[in-house]
Amino acid sequence: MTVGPKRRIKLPETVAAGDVFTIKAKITHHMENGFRLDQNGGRVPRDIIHRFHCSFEGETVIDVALEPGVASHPFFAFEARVPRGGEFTFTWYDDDGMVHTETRSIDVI
Amino acid sequence: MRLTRRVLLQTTGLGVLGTLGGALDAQQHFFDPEEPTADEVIAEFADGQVIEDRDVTLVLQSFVEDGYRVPVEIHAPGAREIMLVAPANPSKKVLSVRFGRHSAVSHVVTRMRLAADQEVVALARMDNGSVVRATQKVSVLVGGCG
Repeated sequence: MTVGPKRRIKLPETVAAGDVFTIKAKITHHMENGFRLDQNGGRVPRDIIHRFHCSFEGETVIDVALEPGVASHPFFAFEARVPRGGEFTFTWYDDDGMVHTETRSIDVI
Repeated sequence: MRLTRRVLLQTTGLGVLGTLGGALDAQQHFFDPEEPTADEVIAEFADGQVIEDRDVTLVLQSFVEDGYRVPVEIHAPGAREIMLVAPANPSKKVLSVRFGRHSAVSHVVTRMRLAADQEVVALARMDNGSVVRATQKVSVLVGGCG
């Protein structure tokens, strides 16, 4: 059961040794940019995912610092190559202090 | 003057227009004078290096209808770090990406916001420390602030 915003991750279950493969990751988030004004002229406070990190067995694949210019429901596609089977960890850091984590295993044949 | 339907429409019509004008004003975005300029953001990333136009590809449509959700792709083989800058957005820096040792090719696809017509800049720091750049001019029909 997923707690918090919906996360979707796509990557192959098995890859051949030395293969380069694509990972896609997305989280549902409104990415309130902090520049909008509400009906009373007050500033709507910023609330975004400010960091997305993907690691394989504790070593970074990609580390993204997000700013308000990233569209809502931030989506990333990127490439990886791993020397052996193991586990990918995906972490999203929210401005509100929440940290959302997902893991996915991959086999190398 | 008699209060006819025509007179009433003319006067209230003006009133409605006035209200609309007020509503449009309320849609304005917050402007933060503390926000660094695009040049400052780029200079900070370059860190004293001369920026050359090579070795990085920025894939972005030249005409965008919806500025709230613009597909963007940065391809910089051999880059350790990349940054995307939108000079006409309220927040110039859009994202920066650090590639780790399991990243096979320094390539990332995402979606960005574009507030207005502008020339988007992608910067990359290569393995040897040099800083390279690619730019793309974009026309935006409906701006999405970011």
